[in-house]
Amino acid sequence: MGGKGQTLALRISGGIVAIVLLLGVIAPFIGYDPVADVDYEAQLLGPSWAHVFGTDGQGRDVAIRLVKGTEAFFLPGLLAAAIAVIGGALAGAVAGYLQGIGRSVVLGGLQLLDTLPRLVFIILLCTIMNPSITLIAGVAGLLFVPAIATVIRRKVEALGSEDYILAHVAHGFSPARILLYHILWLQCRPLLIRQATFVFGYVLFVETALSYLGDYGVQEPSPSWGNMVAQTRDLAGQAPWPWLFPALAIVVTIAAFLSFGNLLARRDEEAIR
Amino acid sequence: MRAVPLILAALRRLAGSAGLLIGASFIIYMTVRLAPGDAVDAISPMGTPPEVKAQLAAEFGLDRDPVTGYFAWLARSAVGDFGESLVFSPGESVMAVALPAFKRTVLLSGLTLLAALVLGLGLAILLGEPGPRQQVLTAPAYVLTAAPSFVVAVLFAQGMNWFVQAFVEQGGYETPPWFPIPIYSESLMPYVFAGFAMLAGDGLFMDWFNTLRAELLSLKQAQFITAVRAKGARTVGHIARNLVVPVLSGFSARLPLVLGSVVIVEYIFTLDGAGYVLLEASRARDFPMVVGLSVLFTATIIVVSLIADLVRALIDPREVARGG
Amino acid sequence: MNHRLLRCLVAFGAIAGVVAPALADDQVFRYPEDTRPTSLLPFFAEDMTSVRMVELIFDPLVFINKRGDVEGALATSWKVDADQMGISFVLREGVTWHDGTPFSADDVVFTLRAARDPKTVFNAKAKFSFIKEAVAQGQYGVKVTFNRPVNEPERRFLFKILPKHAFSGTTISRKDKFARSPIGTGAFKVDKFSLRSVELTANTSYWGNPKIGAVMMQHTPDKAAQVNLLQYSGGKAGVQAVIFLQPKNIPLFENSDTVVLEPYHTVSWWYMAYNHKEKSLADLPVREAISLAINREELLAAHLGRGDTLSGPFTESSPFYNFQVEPREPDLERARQLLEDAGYKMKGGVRTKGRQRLKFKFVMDKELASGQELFLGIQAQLKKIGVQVDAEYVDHARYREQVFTKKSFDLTMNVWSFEEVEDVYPLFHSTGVMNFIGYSNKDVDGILDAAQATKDYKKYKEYMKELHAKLSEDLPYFFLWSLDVYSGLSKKLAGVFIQPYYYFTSFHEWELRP
Repeated sequence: MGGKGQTLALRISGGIVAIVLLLGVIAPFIGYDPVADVDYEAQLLGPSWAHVFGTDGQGRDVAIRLVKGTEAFFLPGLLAAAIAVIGGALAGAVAGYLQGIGRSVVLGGLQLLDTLPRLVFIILLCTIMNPSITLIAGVAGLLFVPAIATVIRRKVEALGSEDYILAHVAHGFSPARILLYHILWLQCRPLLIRQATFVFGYVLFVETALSYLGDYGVQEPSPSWGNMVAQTRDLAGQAPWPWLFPALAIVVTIAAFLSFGNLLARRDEEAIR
Repeated sequence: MRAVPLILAALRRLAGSAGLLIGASFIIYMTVRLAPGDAVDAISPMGTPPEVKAQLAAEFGLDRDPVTGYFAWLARSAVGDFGESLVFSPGESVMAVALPAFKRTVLLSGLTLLAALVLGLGLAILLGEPGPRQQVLTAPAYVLTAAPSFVVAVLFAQGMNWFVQAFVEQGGYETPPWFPIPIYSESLMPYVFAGFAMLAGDGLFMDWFNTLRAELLSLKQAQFITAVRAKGARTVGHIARNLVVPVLSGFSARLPLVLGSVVIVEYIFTLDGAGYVLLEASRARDFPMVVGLSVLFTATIIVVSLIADLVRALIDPREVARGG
Repeated sequence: MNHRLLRCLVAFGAIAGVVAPALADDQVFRYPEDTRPTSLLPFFAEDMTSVRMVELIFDPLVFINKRGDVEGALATSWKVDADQMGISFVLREGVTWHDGTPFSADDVVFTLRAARDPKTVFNAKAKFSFIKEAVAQGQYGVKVTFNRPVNEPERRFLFKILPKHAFSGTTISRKDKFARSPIGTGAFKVDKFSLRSVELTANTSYWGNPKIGAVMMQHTPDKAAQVNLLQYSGGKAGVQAVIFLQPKNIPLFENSDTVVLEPYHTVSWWYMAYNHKEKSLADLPVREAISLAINREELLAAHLGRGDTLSGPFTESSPFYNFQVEPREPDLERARQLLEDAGYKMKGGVRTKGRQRLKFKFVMDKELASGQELFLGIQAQLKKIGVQVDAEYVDHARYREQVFTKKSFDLTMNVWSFEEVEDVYPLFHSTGVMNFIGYSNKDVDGILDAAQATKDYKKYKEYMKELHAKLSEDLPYFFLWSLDVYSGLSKKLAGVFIQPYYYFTSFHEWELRP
């Protein structure tokens, strides 16, 4: 398949993902002190050259907070994606390799994680624990392990009997190499990429949702898109800019991550076929 | 002959599901009990005498250590007694509060999923074979419907209020009974709005569409369909039968996602569903309520996936051999 | 196919429309609340939502009227014994409970005995500790005796009366069903207690003759949604009142055609508490420097709207407020000098003396309105003198545990609300039950003890003014503001009077014009 539209969508979403990731990488190098930025003389100013996206209720510049806000989910997103992919690949491979009790234990654990209603559990955890983005990222990553593990396991089991893998085994390649290179990289790459982008977007989604539900996300004064929207949403009628821009950023970014992951995975799948 | 292994497999799955539920309830129970702050703190204002707190703790069963507490809970809930609410609705049985709310939530989520399925399937059939034109049409739809459902909900509520107000002022029409949003009444409208927001967000609908279209395509190209067609028989029935399995597994795979989004969407439209109760109860550290409700969520997911597996096994016996 | 779809939609809309209306819409007073009512059983009505609802459902013996005087409710007259060791009430005749049972002296006696029952555990129990015994005198007379002489005892009979016939004994549990299906004598009776709303209908046999037909409380935790509901209050689902409008939303309603801003007086003040167990905060110069660095006027104007900055633990309308003590003016220079003199030198942006760094954990209750914004302001102001504060926002249950019980905090900000007059003994006496800051000062203890011992109200006032001056100097807390709080009310309402604290005391006089 892979018509023009799909390529276009892939390019657009890929571009957005790249911009967001780039911002995430450079944001830590931008010197910004959220505490010193508080200025009561400059409350809720509209967009101007000095403040491109205006200022918020504390007189802080919305534009720079928007850029710095990428920091809030960049590392946690990476962390969650890493946990999900590494954990999932390992658990899947182990379950595919092992026989007997070991296999049942791993499978049982995975199934258990999979049955916990994801968002419900995260909300529950965040409402009763102290809010922390690392906690959110860790739990989100962990809860995505089974989805990845299941597919990897099926692949490992299916490939285990395929001739060329057997040939590799006969050649004396180490199981680790076969697993990492031949199975994970060559066979499961689209899946892993899709899941990793999905988890990344999910962390942003959860952070925003939790901020909205009651400041359970990233804590002020550190900016995050979620807490920017949450803190200024009841000013909707009076001053739309402090929440409108981060809200747009959230919608566009999450949509881009989701689409990018899906489209990329589909293209890769086709290529493999 | 076929029935025996099927029943055996079903029993094995059933036992496994029960084990899963117990494991999940343990994790949830421990999370709630070990978190800082408890129900006594939630309701005791400053200066509450320690003896009052101690008596409350005993009354609430918080004086027992969590592990003993869990097994006591498990023993009672095994016979259907999930305890009494502590703070949310003091003294009322957990299930008396949770079940009606949960039914509303499940109905909302289920119907939304179903609506997304019907729309997705319809669109997949209408658009048929993918060509460049359809791609151009579906690509933006793909990106648009991927926004988080609760953002859609917020925008929808704000926009609708603004729009209706402007409309009423302009034309002198009477305001509709569901205005302004969020409303409280026993009408269906808030649920309709919530369903719409979930349908339009989270990439749910396009996800169904893509899955179904791919399935349809591969079915149309499948050999047995070609064979049926060669015989001159109608293919619709065959295609439909073969769609049941992917639809069911899609349904059970997406349910957890939807059950999560519904919690936040309920908050925005102020619905009186399980998400509302869960948020309020966990703020109040009403642990029997929180645990009971979380178990309901988990049990629903388990049961739906169980049903999906069983139906799959009935339709395609090879599944039994594979063991899920 | 299209037609069928259309017909389906129309049918669906019709169903949705038919189920909706329950009461004649223009006779329902709807209002949103931030929290759910935990219990409508008056003893356990501890959150403000429950307190306000109980006001609609139950009656006390007496209440404080608009002018601040004691007026009879279920009691028509009363007589205090000459030695102030007892009081006799004459009760209103012909009153019935919501279920039709006649009200009598037995109910009053039952309420007092239930409150005194050691197995009935509730927080406000101490309010009943002065009562020794209650005896019915005929059907409409009650005699109450005290443990000790009580000045103006009738002011202590503001609690609500419970129906004896609804309980099996004087031991009342928090879990009693009565909490959700209460029976009172008040102007409104509970019709339906749902998950997130409570519907009340007027009690037609109420002597005060309520003018509004029905009331609906709706739990709406989202403040933005509350504002929306008031903004579009013309809609059938709109609300007629928002109890507490956040200052940042007030401009929306300032020139509104449909909503009026009604001042809502409360006896409450904001404070920032120092944990005196923390070494550097036990140092007066540090506390003083922090207090000098915070610009209260600026924060007030930016986040809280109108109010008074305070110099002591009373509101300006309180008889105890000492106007001779001026509130501190912010003075960054002096603040820096104080810290410099106390030996705290700048080091990497944070002042340090030996191992002590002026870096504090500021614990905040998430439910505190505008708390986050205020904290950000304070954090920025303190940074200017080299004091670093880091926030820990915790939810309500956690806050109580962490700050009040475990005392694990350096700084915190909160509000004290008082039902009537401020009693600050528990806050600042070294043995006070609400002294969570570990404050201990012999002079303050002395003043408080002397004030407690005196029977002379004038002298008590003098002691309180002395206390005010002392606390302003010694800074156990930094006293911040008392605010002008506004309710947003629909212009359709008439005859409105908002009772301080209880809010709905005179609600039966409110009217809702179509």
